[in-house]
Amino acid sequence: MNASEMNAEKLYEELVRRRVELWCQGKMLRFRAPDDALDPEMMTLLRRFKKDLIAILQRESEPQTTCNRLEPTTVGQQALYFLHLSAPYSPAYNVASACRICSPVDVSSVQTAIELLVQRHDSLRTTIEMQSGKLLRRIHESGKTDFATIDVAGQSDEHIAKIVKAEYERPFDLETGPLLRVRWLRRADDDQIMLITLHHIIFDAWSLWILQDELFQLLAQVSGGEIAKLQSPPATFSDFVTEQNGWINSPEGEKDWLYWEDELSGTLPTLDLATDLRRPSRAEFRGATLPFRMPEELSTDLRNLAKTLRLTPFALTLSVFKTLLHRIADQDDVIVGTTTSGRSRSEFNHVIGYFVNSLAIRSNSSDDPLFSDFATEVKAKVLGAIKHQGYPFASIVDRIGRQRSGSGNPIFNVMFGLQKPRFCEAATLLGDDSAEVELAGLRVRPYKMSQQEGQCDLTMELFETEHAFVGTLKYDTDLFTQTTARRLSDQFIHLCGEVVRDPNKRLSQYDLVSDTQRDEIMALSTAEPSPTWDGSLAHEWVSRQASLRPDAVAWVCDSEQQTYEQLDHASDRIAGELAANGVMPGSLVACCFSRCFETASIILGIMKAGAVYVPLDNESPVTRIESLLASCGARTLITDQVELMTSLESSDAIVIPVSRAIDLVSSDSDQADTDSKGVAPADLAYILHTSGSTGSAKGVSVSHEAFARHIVSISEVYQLTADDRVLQFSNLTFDPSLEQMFSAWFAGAMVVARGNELWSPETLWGVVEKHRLTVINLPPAYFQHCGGNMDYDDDLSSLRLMILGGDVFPSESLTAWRSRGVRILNAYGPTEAVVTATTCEVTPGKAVRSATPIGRPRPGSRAYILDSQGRFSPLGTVGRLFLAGPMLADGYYGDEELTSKVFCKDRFDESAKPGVMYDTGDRARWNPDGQLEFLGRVDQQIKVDGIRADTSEVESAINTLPEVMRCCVRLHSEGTAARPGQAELIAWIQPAENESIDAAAENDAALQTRVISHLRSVLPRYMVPRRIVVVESMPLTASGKIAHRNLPRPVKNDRRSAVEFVAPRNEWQSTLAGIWAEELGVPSVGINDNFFDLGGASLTSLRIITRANDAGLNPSDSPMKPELLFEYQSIAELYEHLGAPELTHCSHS
Amino acid sequence: MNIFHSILESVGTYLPPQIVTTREILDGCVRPVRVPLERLTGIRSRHFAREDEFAIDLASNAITDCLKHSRIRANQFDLLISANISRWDGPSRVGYEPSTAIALKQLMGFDKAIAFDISNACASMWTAVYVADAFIQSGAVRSALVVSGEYISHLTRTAQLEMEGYLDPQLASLTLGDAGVAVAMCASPRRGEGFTNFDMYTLGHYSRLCIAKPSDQPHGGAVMHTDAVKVTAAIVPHAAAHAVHVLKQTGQHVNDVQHIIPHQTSRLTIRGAIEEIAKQFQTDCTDQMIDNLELRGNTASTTHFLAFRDNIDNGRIRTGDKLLFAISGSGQTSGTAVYNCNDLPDRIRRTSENGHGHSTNGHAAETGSEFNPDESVSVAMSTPFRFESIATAVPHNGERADTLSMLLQAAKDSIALADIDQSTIELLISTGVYRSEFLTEPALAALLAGDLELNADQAATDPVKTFAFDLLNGSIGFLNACHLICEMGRAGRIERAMVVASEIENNADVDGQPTLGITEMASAAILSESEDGETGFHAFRFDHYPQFQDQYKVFANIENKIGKPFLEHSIASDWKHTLIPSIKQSVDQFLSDQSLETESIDWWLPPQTCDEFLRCLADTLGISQDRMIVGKDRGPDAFTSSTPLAMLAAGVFGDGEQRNGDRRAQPTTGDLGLIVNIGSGMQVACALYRF
Repeated sequence: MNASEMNAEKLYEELVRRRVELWCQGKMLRFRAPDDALDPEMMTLLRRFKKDLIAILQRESEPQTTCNRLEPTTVGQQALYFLHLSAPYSPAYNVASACRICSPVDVSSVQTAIELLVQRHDSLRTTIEMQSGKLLRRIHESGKTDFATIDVAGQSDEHIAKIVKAEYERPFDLETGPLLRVRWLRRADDDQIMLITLHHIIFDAWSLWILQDELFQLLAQVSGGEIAKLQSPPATFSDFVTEQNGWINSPEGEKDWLYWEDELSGTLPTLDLATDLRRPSRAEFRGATLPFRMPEELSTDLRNLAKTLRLTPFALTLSVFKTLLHRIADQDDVIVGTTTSGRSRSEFNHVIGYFVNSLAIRSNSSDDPLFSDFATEVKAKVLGAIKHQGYPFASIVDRIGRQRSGSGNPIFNVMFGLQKPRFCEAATLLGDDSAEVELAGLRVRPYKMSQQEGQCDLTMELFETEHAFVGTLKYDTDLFTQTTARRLSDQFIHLCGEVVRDPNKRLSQYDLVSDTQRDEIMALSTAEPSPTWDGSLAHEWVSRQASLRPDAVAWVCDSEQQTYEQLDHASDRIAGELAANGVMPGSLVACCFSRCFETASIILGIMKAGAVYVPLDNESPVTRIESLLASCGARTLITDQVELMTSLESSDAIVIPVSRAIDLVSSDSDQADTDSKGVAPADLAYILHTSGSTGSAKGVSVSHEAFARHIVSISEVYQLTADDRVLQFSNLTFDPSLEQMFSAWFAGAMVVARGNELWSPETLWGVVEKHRLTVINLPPAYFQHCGGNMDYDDDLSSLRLMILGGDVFPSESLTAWRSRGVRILNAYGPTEAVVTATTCEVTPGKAVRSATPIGRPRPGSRAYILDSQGRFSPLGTVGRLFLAGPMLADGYYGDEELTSKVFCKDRFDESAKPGVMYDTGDRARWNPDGQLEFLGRVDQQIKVDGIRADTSEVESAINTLPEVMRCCVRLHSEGTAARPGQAELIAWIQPAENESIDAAAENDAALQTRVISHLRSVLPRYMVPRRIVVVESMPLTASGKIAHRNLPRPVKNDRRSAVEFVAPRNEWQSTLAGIWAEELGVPSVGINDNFFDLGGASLTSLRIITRANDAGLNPSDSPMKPELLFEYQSIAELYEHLGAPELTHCSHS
Repeated sequence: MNIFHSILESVGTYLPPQIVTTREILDGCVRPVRVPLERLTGIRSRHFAREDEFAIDLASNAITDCLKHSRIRANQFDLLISANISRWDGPSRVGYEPSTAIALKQLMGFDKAIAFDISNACASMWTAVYVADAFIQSGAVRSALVVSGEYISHLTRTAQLEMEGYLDPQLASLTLGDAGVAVAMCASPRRGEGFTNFDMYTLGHYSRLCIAKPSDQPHGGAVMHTDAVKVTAAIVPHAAAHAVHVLKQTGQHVNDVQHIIPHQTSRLTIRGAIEEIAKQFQTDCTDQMIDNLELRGNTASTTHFLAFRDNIDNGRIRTGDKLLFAISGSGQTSGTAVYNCNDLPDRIRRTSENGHGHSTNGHAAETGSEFNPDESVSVAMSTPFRFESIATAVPHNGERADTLSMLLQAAKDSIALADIDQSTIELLISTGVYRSEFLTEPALAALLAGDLELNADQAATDPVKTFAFDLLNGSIGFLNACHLICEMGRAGRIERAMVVASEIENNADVDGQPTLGITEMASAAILSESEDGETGFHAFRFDHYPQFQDQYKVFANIENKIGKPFLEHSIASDWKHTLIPSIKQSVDQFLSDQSLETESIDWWLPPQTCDEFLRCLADTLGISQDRMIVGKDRGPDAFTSSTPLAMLAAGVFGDGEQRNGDRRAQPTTGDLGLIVNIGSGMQVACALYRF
């Protein structure tokens, strides 16, 4: 080369020939060159022609922009663009493929092959940009290739995997591109990794096959020194866009739409899978992939079954998958998505682009069909969907969304697919990285990398290999754990086996639990054995302690206290008095009095007399007490209620005033030992009344044996010793009161009773400090109240165990307690299962779906989760909670019918004398940690917008706010029983102390706004309450729980309502409101209405912004962008953000 | 690694512990000043340095804090720039040589950094950041540390003594506070973060609105005279207009930026600027404005970065935020920087959460990738800058040497010689150390730009502008400036620049105080991008030999004990000779770096000083004195004008051609020259120049 003849153009050509990369950054000329490409002479030339080269480069990029084509996008691309905007840095829409190449390759040939590919396919040269509200594809004449080699020689596999992951995850800039990135990681001559990453908006799975095929063909040609010769693709993506956009508006397209409109009519079901973690407010698209393999034999059987039933393998496996979903979600109406290649003509089979289309396959199993019929029905749906696949799914979502504003939910959140694997996909899926194929003379192996694919809650993909079906389950890691994903894939394989065995069973008849899982479930259901019960009964323990440690304090109430000896004697005197009054063993002795010093002696005395202790609420109206007395037939009553005594004067009831008991307790005369040995373990110890859903009270009768066994078992759980000092907090009409006393006495510990009034926090902590209490059991709502009002000077160091249970669990506020070294248990137990049936050690920090799990059954008992057919629910699946073992109530006193309804034979007890199990009527499931998770009452599940919701989740979310002391969330309906109104989720909130000093309406309004905006940030939209009611104090029941019935009803059209209608205030706002109303299909839009609450979604936002720009609503000649609606979701917010713009009439006359 | 923009890799601050309220300041004035200063300025209190704390202490403390949050270790930095306005390093002692950067380099262990000072009034720090940004963008350095220990409370004390009333030109001195800031900078491999827009320039027309120099009063010290009304009237609308221009030019709206940080002088001024911006965008951006005047006062060159760090600490500035810095300073310098935050806010807050005081010096790695000083980066193509013209000036016969008049003459002559349109001079750097009246503010370059009317009053939107500032590094400063110009050119910022130098003997008319022995002269050189890709500067090397640092110290005594300020110095008489082995070491290393032999060098351009030294040098280097180019009018030591003088002797004139007027042999086209200079510190500088 003669330097003197050189000019800038020649130099540029030479540099390109030498593979010197040149680019401009501002007025800087940057370069990158292979070794030896730039000798000193070249450097001088480069310096000399720097300015000219910059000019050439700028010229090169300029004409490109003018001759680059701008073309429309598909609705699918528009929808994807919108998703991309919501998380622009998420790799959720990065599509990648990686493989290991175990033969020497000339890297420059690879780069050339890639460049040729980019030149072949428009999509690989496409960038996406927004121009005045329209989303367009810019197709560059000559595409840039982002190709780089990375030297990883000597690096560990982990380090390389990290590099691969980082390169894969690096976000794409849709506007600047390029949207294809190739990384060549070189470890050795015969060990290289090729990573190809693209943005989904120009690419799909089918495209990947094309790309891989062609790349290796080109590579073979290039490295073989041949001229690359591949036939040009017969069509372009632009052809497809034109065709599809034409189809949507054509009569045929309209027919397709009618099909989908019909198919997706009515309320759209949302598949309510029990998730392991709480659904985040905005999907983060984090996912993981779990590979699985179906046994070969089963795969063959499935293929044969498909032939027999005249089904495609796809329809068959989809039907099995759907059956699984129907069953585990307990839902009849289920929609599962699937994808088609979207390549409506064979010409497109060789075109790279974002063609893929989704199809919604809906099925209904309300009549519990035979599987074979169900599968035939699914096949028909699949065929119908394929026939009408020309109508793009994004348009369907858009039109459905417009028709039904207010839901905003996707049409499906679970997908299924079946395909034949290409390349070494199957091996990759199964992590078999030794599988090797030869491509273009190169030895290629799969390279396993985890891709982020959480676009749906769950996606099951099957691949039909030569021998067997292999599959992947992709799951959203914000919702599911790997354990659950593994269980789901196991269940699917198990169900396939069941279906193959007999395809003519009804869907409900298939057992979802495999033998292996059954063993696992049984192991979870059965607690460890309880310590041996020596046959002694509860009232005997005090006498035993009296002889062991006569002077130890057994009972403290107010300022008085009793030693074990004193308590033993006093209770004897009470027993004697009862006998003297004609109380016989087995007689019912009702107690209706305020808690007092004598309480312990009275309860013990009743038991010692062989009578049955029946506590009644002394706050109840006299008439109610009388009716309870009548219904249970108690003829003896101990009371301090004058009114009650007067009222019962004329009856034949024996009324013993508490004053008599006081005399007896304080008397020091020794009563001869009453003969309590006459009490048999099977005799009743107490009857407690619980209010049922019918409203009338039921008397739960508990035997001495069940109660004694419970105390023995739970004392082990609480690890009680004679050194403990236990608070007796619970109201006497609740069974924890009995546990609080007798478990302590069993251990020889001291019991400290609370007074009759609900203590103030100061008093509570004062008592704990004064008496050096070690164990307290509080209702969570009360605990939360007190926990927030703690004086940190209180010395609570004695406290070692805190039991909370029976309400929404305040897990958020417990961290501080845990750090004080206090053990915390969440306790659960219906009266029918004798006080505390399950306990859970609370460990902080773990985010779970509901507030806190309720743990495992207490030692010596069992807990089952059964489906509606009485079979074990699969692990992780919601079912009904049954409790079994020897610690159950006998039943409902005097109500055989009800008893036999809920207490039935324990079918899972394989012992010679099978016991009984109790149907709690509560929904629960086994969580991935093997803990029971309580999910509310079967009869009190709420549904918001058709989605099941757990109000406790909302409550937990509100309770995290420091401004809130406590809250309560309920579904509230304005209507009457005859004409129920639209039920709304309402939150009642009691502000924290310092917040309510000025309980002015303005503060309330501010609090409401804060709560709403907080909830919007942490909960799915449907779970955000529509209204927030601020109350000065939360009505509490006597036991310290929230009295739901006494909550104030919200005032309708209260100005505090979160969605109050405020009319537009100026021309700009009314114009925009008009556009919103039309596009969202609602009659009127207020300026504070939320775009998403009104049903706004992707395409709507694009259209609204386009129309708004056209109408001149954009401020000073810069068009608005659709992402604005993400951030400013109401017209008022938008207006404010844009700086109170005015309507310009220039473009809109 | 691809370089996108440079980022603030770390920011450290130091606030001296003493807090002084505005009330106390006013109460401390000798004559009552009845002005509601707190209300006008929004300043309630500010920090003052302790009695034993001076500029260099503030700087070193800020560096320590900065390194605490940095992934880069002190010895990994490639560039160190010190940017405080006044170099008060002792009571009424203003440091002149060595430069503060050189002192800090030794003190803090910046072993391999090129170091020099930049002085440009309140915009000094930004000027240095702008320079560092260019060095990083060009690929010349991987990392840079810019520091300013701004000790200026002494101006407040003088003002308290001297002020006559509220119309006094020293009123602004009552708003000042002391602070140190340091920022670590490096390139970001990620698109989108860092300085996405950055523009600075000088409006010399306004250069005399604020001047700082020693007081002529018996109590000594320094004073700052500000024409506050004119500054506000001229500058506020201009600064706002420039911010708006920069945003609009790149299609950004002011609401795209989360924070606007203006120069923190007074609340009224800040509000004025914000209102101007808001008006242009028809929006309200009050909420974006950051103002930390209340507790900091006006801390001169450090205000922006102090506010930046304060608002990181208080959680307002977050990772991913976009900031607009509105830059202004006497001179009048104006500029706008748009900056997208990297993970620094998160990193700083995390370190604070993890417990205070634990230094992670260079080890803040848990937060991200380790800084790898050896990682290769894509560099920008450089084109040599060549001397287009050189002119010198000496004092008129019998007249006392005056810095500005000498500068003006040399500059005018060089422009005339080069025969260029002077508005094409995009950069003007003054490297003179010793100047009339010990002027510290504004930059000499700014005053010269004003006197030359060098794009001195352009509209904010005008694309033709000149940026002027001072670069100080003893006699090495001139070569530092040439290097800087080459890198600015490589970074695509400029195509033509002017470097000037001028020295006077400050002690010439002070009885009993020895002079420094430097030649009183000025020089001006115009450098332009070479057209043939060969003529001009090709490489530079700056070495520092700290073992000799104590042999050369000069500072100004401004106590006024003898009625005027004067220079005090301690300079070893044989320092030049002591340095000769080091010169040889540097030269050998430089030649080896450039794959050259001693024989490859056609011409040597040594320090223009005494014959005896040059003889020894030639002997040590093993070269013939015939090959050494020495100017005949060099006097005792041409100092900062050494290189221009040597170039003139080599026959480089206005037309860039050689002239054979001299009897001796001269370089011809294509010859290779090696420029060597030495200076305080001790420093040896080498540069390769193709004739």
